[in-house]
Parts: sequence; structure tokens; C-alpha cells
Amino acid sequence: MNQKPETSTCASAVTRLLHEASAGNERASAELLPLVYEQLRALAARQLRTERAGHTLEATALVHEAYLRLVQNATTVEEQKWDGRWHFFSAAAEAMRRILVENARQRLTVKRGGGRQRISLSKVESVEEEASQDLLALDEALCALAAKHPEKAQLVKLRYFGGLSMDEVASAMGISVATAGRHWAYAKAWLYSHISKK
Amino acid sequence: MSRDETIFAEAIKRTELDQRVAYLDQACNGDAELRARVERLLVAHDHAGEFLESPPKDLLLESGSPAHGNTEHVARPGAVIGPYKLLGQIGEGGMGIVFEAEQVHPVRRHVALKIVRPDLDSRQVIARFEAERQALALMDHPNIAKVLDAGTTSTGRPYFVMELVKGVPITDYCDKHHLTPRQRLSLFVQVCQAVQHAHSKGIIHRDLKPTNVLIATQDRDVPVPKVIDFGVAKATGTQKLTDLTLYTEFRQLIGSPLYMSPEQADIDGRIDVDTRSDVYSLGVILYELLTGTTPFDRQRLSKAAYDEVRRIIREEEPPRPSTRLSTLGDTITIVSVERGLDPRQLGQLIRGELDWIVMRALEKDRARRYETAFGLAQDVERYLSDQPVEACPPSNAYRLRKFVRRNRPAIATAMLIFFVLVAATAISTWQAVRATRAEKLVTQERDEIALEKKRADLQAAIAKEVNSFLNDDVLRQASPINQAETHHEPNRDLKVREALDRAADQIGDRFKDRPLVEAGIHYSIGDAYGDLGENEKAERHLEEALRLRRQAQGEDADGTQQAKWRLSVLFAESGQLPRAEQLWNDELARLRQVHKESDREMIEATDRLADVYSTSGKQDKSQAMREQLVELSRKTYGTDDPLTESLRNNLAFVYMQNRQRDKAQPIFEDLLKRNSLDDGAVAAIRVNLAHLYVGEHRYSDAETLWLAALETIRKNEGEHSPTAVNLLRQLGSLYTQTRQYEKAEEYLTKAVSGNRSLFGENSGASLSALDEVGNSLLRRGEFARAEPLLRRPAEVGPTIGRVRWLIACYQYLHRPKDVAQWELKMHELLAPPLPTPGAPGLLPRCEQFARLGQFERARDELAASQRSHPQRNYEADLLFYDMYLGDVDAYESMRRVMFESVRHGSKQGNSPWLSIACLLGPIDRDDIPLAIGWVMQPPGGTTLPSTGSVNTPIGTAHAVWTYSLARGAVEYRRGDDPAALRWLGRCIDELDLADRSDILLDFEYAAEDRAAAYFLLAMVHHRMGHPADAQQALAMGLKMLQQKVPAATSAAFQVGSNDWMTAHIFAREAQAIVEGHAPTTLPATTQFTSGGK
Repeated sequence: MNQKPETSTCASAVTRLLHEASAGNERASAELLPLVYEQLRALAARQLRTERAGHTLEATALVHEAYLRLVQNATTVEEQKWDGRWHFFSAAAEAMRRILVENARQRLTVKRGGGRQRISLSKVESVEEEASQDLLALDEALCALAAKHPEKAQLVKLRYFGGLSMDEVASAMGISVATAGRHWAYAKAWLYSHISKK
Repeated sequence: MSRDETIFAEAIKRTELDQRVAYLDQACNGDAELRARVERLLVAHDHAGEFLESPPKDLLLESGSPAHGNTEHVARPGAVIGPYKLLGQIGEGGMGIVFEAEQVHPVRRHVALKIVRPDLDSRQVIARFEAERQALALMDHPNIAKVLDAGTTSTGRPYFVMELVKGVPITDYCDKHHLTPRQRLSLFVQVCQAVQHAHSKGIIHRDLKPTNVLIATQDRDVPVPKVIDFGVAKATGTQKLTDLTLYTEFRQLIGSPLYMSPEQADIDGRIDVDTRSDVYSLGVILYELLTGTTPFDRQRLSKAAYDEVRRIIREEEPPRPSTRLSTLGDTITIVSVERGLDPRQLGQLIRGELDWIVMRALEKDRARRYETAFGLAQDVERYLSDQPVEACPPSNAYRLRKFVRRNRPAIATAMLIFFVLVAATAISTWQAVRATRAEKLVTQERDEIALEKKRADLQAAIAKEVNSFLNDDVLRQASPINQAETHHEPNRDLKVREALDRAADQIGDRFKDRPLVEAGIHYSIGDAYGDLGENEKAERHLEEALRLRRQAQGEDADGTQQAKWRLSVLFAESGQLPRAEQLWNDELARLRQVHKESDREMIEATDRLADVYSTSGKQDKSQAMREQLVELSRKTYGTDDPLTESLRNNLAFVYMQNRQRDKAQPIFEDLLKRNSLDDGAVAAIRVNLAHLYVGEHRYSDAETLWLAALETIRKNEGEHSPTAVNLLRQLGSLYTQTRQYEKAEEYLTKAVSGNRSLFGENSGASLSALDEVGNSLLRRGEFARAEPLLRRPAEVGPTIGRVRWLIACYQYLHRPKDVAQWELKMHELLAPPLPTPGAPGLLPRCEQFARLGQFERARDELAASQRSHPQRNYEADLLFYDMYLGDVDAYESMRRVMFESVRHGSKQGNSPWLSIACLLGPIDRDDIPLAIGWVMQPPGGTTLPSTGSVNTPIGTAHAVWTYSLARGAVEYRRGDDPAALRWLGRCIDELDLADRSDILLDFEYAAEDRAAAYFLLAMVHHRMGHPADAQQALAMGLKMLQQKVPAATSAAFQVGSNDWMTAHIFAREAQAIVEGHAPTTLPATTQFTSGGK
């Protein structure tokens, strides 16, 4: 598979969109998402093929790798100072969330709907099922949180799906680290309480 | 910020419950709803733990894995992971779960599959898990579970597959089977060797305990220890295991506290744990094997607080095993029964050497422990073969006891040697006293000298009669050969005692009119019983000897004093120090009536008392007494007085025992400078000093001294005196050691005949001397001459050393049947290490190592030899060993050497094996021409003959298929797949033909070569894009390997292991390629020595 030109085309598109997004162009932000989404999926798929035996695949590591490939290499040193990368991470975190949720849904659908009953359901599968359900529950709780506290939900997305550190989250959202910490503790407790109520 | 948020944020800052409650009381101010909301959040906060803290990994995969916080197991019985079907969980460790699994493809076998615990898949755990896999993969030892495969589940969870060890913890096994301490020790030695192997790979186990040392009984109920669970193993040195730094984050106690070394218990991590930590844990296991309990009480440790546990491990000195046994109370009965002994026997057995060995392994200060696991194993082996152990300062008496035990079959001659040894190896008090008596002679009149001479003659006559009685009437019956003739059950241990009992019975009144002869016999028998630990009997006979001599010669006579001295030594050795003290205190009291403190007699008796102290391990006291005596004598009689000199000799002797060479040496050297000494005393001192020199590797100085001493002793005591004969042997050993083999043979041969005429053909002394001649010949490469010399001692009195040399001899002589026969014997006596690299016949010996599973050792010896003698042709052999061991770097550099010599034309030949050796791994295109020169000339001329042709001479077939195999390898590496297919096909055809025409001989390795051909074929097919053919070829190869190729450790394994290693090397590569493993350099992952059905 020849991915090189594809990536660089994509990279320049991403850079352009990031510029526009940071200039306040809403549409650019919207266009960024599917681009990043596709890239993340492709990246994940390729890693799965090539790194068969090895380490587990981390969603957040993928996001960072996507960033390195799509943004950092394509921008000049001067451009790196510019904070358009937070747009990228917002998009990437959102993209990753969607990918994970889709995967989880798909897995549950296949399990219930498909006629693959030939192999008796081992614990392996039911555990995976639980994990998928956990993720869907988290996503649902996150939506509920977003309705009440959109900023906190955004923080969770950046941190959990985007893999940003607390410092990075704080600077991406333009808040202090202390505030970010407080938000995180609150959001975590809120989500946990929301999920365990069910 | 909402009020909820503010209160929540403030409340979580308060970690104490009452503070938090107080804050909420105040902040919510009676608003119940607000308080309920915040409290719900606080509960969630407290419970959330790691929720959301680790990234959502794995869920990306098509089928996911559990989220964090989920402690369910991914794997359950019935699940299928790769080609493995999980059957049942067999264990759970710190980070992984172990299942028994069934592998169906490509071979059907049961394996152990370890998979990382699903609730623990943090980076650290995965790194540690990976480290364990790597650690195991590095190792190849029959007593360590092998890694067979590794991979990742469809959910991305790493796992690896190991050889399935079905076994029970070593302690349980030993107790259940009532193994005797000796049997336990032999198992333990193997465990040490396995641990040593790990250490040699730079891996520290760090969690050695009985549950990690399993005993598997694979076939014929032979217990095989297997060290498992390198889960917390750590790499040392430059070995790169995954992410070492991670360990620094784990400042937790890793491992079970009962088996944990003091440095591991040091939580601050000030001390870096090294291999000696494992030596400590091995010491705890040994402790438990012997006593049934751990050094620190299990219950006490489990009750103690964490810090207290650490303190105990770091500071408290555990009781010696024998002490521990004596405090066991009623439990001792069970513990003893489990060891096939009664409580008294068990205590006796363990007291002494075993105590020392265990305590040395358990030293708090690791610098004082055994340096290596191997060192520990060696000491245990020394104990088992009745050689002095290293773990304690060797006292003379202790050494002698060992010597006698070592030579059990000929015990009664050994008891005569007792004097010889004292005289020749380290002359102690008795000889020195002679020096003072000699002084008397100088000052006495000539006729008195004549009297003394007469007395000496009389003594010689008595000794002769004693010898003849013991040798002819008693010993003859004791040798296994005579035993067999008289249909006695040949039992070594019984025999010695029986012989002594018979001797005791036969004395009767046979010597009624010769009390001194009778006394001599009683003395010898008592002495021997003493050496066997039969203290009561020993005492009876020695008392009788003392009584008779007293009666016949009076209290002051040499003989009386000697018997008294031996009796006191017996008391001292058997822990009856008060009785020993009393003998000499009585003597001193008797003397005191007529003598004053500074009189010679008093000083001599006090010196005897000092000897008692040194024998009972109170060297310090003995040393202090003798220092005083020397002073007293110096003041009273002067430095030049022979008494002072003999006392100084004795003092120096204690210094030697106390390992104060630097103090001993100047005294001996000074004594030698004096002219005043009688030449007998000079000889004694020379012998002692020579021993010091040998210890310092000053061989030529030692030689000079011994030669001079020999001269004197011959002059004084005659050519055939025991002391002279023994010195001949000492000198012979020295010459062997310094590789002066011709001189060695000369002296040792004389020692043999001397010992034979003195003690008889089957005496321990004769046999040992014979041994040494054989050994010396062996080192010179004269195997045929060495064989009969070595065989006799090995038959009459087999010891590890003797059997070992005999086996080596048979290997050199290529007599595999004899090798096998004596190997059985050796396994009985334990498998010992073999020295002397560079000796002729190294290759067969290395193959013998391979047979013992010690490939590494074989490689190391070959490499050492090749290094020191570059003209040798071991390069190709080294290539096989290096690649088999997975040491790619060594392989590469040795291949360079090969290619260089090809370039310079210094290595030529026409053996396909040279090419195969160079093609065992991938090769640079440019180097290919260098590697294939050896196979371009087909055997038998330009056209390759066919095996199927009429009257194929034996050997031709081999040549043809080997050539084809080599060509196949060449073409495969060259990238010419069609040609490779042709040649490999030809190879297999030839093998088929050979099979059918029944011309194969045992040594032709058809199965190995066929397997190798299949593996190459599999790789060729794979590259050509024929996966099904590749799979099939691989399966055929594996089947050959499993069913037809003998395991290296089996009896069917033949000398000539290159074919064998080739098959295994290619198996590994083919499996990696065809089954799509990442190409690794896992050594020996394909040794299907167990589990296959």
C-alpha cells in the first residue's frame, strides 16, 4: 500500500483547516473532524496489521501519532508556536470517541444479531461485551454531562479520548491547571455516580 | 462555579472523614438536598479509583477487551487462543494467569500458556510480562521450563507458551516420597545449576521458593526439578530486558518474605539486588528441605507487621538448621520420618557441614555468601562426595574424617593412612613432639640411641603385624569383589562397619601374649570407628588400646600418649569437650605432682589440650594457648630450644587452620633457617610449608621442599615408609597439576607400588594413587593406557571424580556403550562439572556436555580452546553451537573468521558441513561465494552418484544426501528457489532410498538431516508463495524432530551433534517464517522433549 502521497495531501489539508479553524472558521472545524477520523481509523488498522505480536494498541497513543504525522511534520517551527494544535486535538478526541463508540456498538450488534452461535459464547466474548457496554454507558453519561457542564465534558474528551496531560488540557482550554484539576475531579465523580446509578 | 462544585472541591481536599463531615455540616448549612447531591459525588469520588485514569486501549480492535476496573479473566477454560485450547487454570502469579492448554497444530501436545492478567494491563505489567518471556526465551536448561511460543490474543493481550511442567513443589515432593537428605541434596544441586544458568544469562529470578521449584516426574519416576515463574526476574549487566527503569517504580516487596534476601527486604532500595539474592533464597529452600521449616518462623512472619518483617529479615540471625531441629518439639518425629531417619540420626547428619553450607548461603552480608549458585551447588556436591566443604574453616580432623569417608571401601587402610596424612599433608602436634624427643636423643648417650632405634624397630614390627591382620583378615572381605564372591549383599556402608565389627570379633585372644599388637589393632579399629562416627565403639576400642599400652609401657610411653590423644580427639569431635579436657587435665594434674608449669612434660601436655581445642573448633582458644606456650618455652628454654621450635611449628599449624597464612608462613620459614633442628623435624616443617606454598600456587617452591623432605624421610624411615610413599604421591599430584606429566607418572607409579606393598592392592591409598596415574595419562591423551588404571578405582570405590574421568576416557576412546554404562553410575553419584579445556578429544567431550543439556558449556570450552590454539579446527563446530544457542553475535564474528581464512586460503576442505555451518542464518550476498566453496565439488567426482545404484558403499549415501542438503541450503540463501527445491527434493529422495535399502547405520543421522531438509523446504515454499506446502513441510519436519530425533539428553543421543543442532536451528527459523512469528533469535524453542504424544 502506498500511503505516502495520501498522507501528505491529507496533512496539508489538515494544516489548512487548522489555520482556518483557529481564525474562527466554524466550517473548517467541522471539516477537520472527518479528515482526522479517517486518518485515525487508517492508522489503527495499519498498526493492527503490522504489529500483530507486540504491544496493545492505545487509542490515545494513536491520536498523538496522528498529530505527529498530520500536523507537526507539515508545519514550520513558527507555525508550531501557534495554538491550532488544540483544534486538532479537540477534533481527534472527538473522532476517537466516535470510533470507539462505533466499534462498541458494532460489536454488540454482531453478537446479538448475527447467527454466529457456532462457537458457544465463551467468557472471552462476554467480557468484551461488558467492556463495550461500559464504553457505551460512559458515552451516554458523557452526553448527559455535556448537557449540564459542556466545558467539563470537553475536558474529559480531551483527556480520556485525546490522551492529553492535565497541563495540555488546561492550556488547550485556556484555563488554569488548578481549575482543570477541579473540573476533572468533579467530572469523574459525576460520571461515575451517573453510571453506577444505572 | 456552582455551589455544588465549590463544596465538592473543598470537601475532597479533606481526606479525614470527620474533618470532611464537619466541613459539610458547615457548608451545606442544613440544605439536605444539596448535601445529598454532594455526598453522592463524594462517594463516587472515593470509589472511582482508576476510573478514566488510563486510556481506553484495546477497544480499537475489532473485538475489544475489558475496560479498566474489570477483574474478569479474558481467558477461561474452553477458550481458544491461537492454536491453543485452554483446558484449565493451573496457576496465577503476580501478573499472569497460567493455563494448561492443548496445542493441536502443528503438533499435538499439552503446554502451559501464560497470559497477562486482564485487570493489570498497565504498561508496567506488560513490560514485566514481556521481560519474563524474554528472560525465559534466553534460557535453555533442562531444569527451566522452556518457552515454546509467544504471541498476542485477538484482543491484543500478550501471552506466551511454555513447556508444561506437571509437578509439585520440591519440599512437598521430598516429604511425600520420604527422600533422604542425600537425595534431597542431589535434587537441590540441580536446582542450583538451573539458577546458575539463569544467572549466566544475566537473569535474576528474585522469587525462588518451593512453589517455584517444581519436581516433575517425567519418565520412569526420575524426579526432574524445574524452576518456573521468572515473573519478577530482573536482568543484570548489559542484558536488555524490556524497560528496566520500570522496576525502579516498583518499590514494593517482590516475592515471599520467607524466602526473601535481606537486600530485597531493604525497601529503600539502597542496595541493588544481584544474583547473590537468589543464592540466599536457595539457602532458605535448602534449610527447609533439611529441616522442614524455614529459617524464620512462618507464623511469626505472617503475624508481624510489615516493617517488623523487614527488620527480621535484615537483622535477625536465624538458628542453624541442626539447632532448629532440636527446638522442633514433637514435630521432629514427622520431619525425621519424612527424611527416612530417626530424629537422632537427622540431627547428627545435619550438624556440621550441612549447617555450615546452609548458614553460608544465608549470610546477611552477601559478600560472605557463596559468590554464585554454582558455588553453592559445588559445596553441596563436595559434601555428597565426602570431600571437605568450603563453607567452613577446614580443621585437620575434619579433613581427615572426610578423607576416610571418601575412601570407605578400603576403610581399614585409610585408618593407617591417618598417620601418613598427619605426617605428610600437615604435620601437627604428634610429629612435632617427635622433634622434641629427637632433641633428647641428641643429648643422650649412644646406647640410648640404640635403644631408641630398637624401640623404633619394635614399633615397625608391631605396625607390620597390625597391618597384616587388618589387611588379610578384615579388609579382603570388605572389597566389593570379595563380597560378591562370598555372596554377601554388596552394600558399601554396611560393609565398612561389618568389616570393622568382624575385625573386632576376631581379635579374641589371638594376641594374648602380644599386648602391643593387640593394642595397635584396637587403636586402628577405634580410630576407624571414630572416623565413621561410631563414637561409642570407637571409644571402647581406644580405651582398650590405652589400657593395654599403659599396662605394657607405662603412662609416659609414646603409645600411651598417642592413644590418649586419639581418645581426646574423639571426645572433642563428638562434642564431648569436657571429657576431652578432662583427659588432659588429669594428665596435667598427674604431671603437676612431680613437675612445675614450665617443665617440658607440662608444656607438652598443655599443647595436647590446645590440640583438643583446635579439634573441637575452638581455634581461637587453641591459638591463644599456643601463643602463651611458645612464650613460656622461649623464656624458659630459649628460642633455639627444640621444644620451643616444635611449639612454634604447632602454633603456625593453628595459624594455618585459622587461615592466617601470613602469620604461619614466616614461622615455618624461620624454623627452617635454624640449624638446631633434627632433620626429621625439618622434614615435617618443610611438608607443612610446602602446603602453604601450594595454596599460593608457588608450585616450584613446594616441589623443592617436598623433594628435600622426601630425601630426609627416606633416609630416616626407609624407602617404603608410609610417609615417604605418601610424599611420592603428593609430588606426583603436583607434577600433574603443573603439567609435568612424565615426572607425574614416574612418581605416581612409585606411589602405587609403594601403597600396594604397604596396604594391599585394594586399599584406598593404592586406588587413589592409581587414579592419579590414570588422570595424568588422561591429560597427556594416552587414553588406552589410562583406561584400565582409571577403571579399577572406579569399580572398587566409585566416586564422582573417578567415574567422571573414566567416562571422559571412554569418550576419547569412542566407546559409547561404556560411556552410557558409567554415566548411569555417575548419575547415581551426581553429575559433576568437568575441567581442563583444550585437552585432546575436546569435541566428543563437548558432545557429552550437550548430552547433559549443557550446550553453553560445550560452546564455551570449544571457544576457549580455539582461542588459545587458533590452529585448531573448531570454527565450524562453534558456528553450530553459537547458532543453536541463539548467540547471533558470536555466530557472526566466528563466520567472519571462517571467511577470512577462506580468503587467505588457510582453510580448505570439501565438506558440505562447512558450508552448512556458514548458512545457518541469513547471509550477506557478497559472502555467499565464500560460504559455498566447500560444496561445489560433489562427492565421487563431477557427477553425483545415486544412492539407489548397486552396491552403494556405506557412507556414500550419507555423502550424497548431505551434499544435496548443503546445496539446498546454498540455493535457498542465494535466493534460487527452484534450484533449492530440486536439491532438497534430491536430499529427501536419497534419504528415502537409503531407508528402503536398509543401508543406514546408527551414526548416520538420517532423521536429523531429513528434518533439516524439510525445514529448508518449508522456507522455500513459503517464499514461493505456497503456504499449504510450506505448512506441510514444516509439519513433516517437526514430526521427524519429535518422533525420530532423540532428545539431546536421551540415551539414544549420539556423539556428533552438528546434524542434530542443524535440524533444530532450521526448525526454529522455519517456524518463525512459516508460522509468521516475528523473526526472533529464541534459542531452542523447538526442543520437543516433553509433552509430545
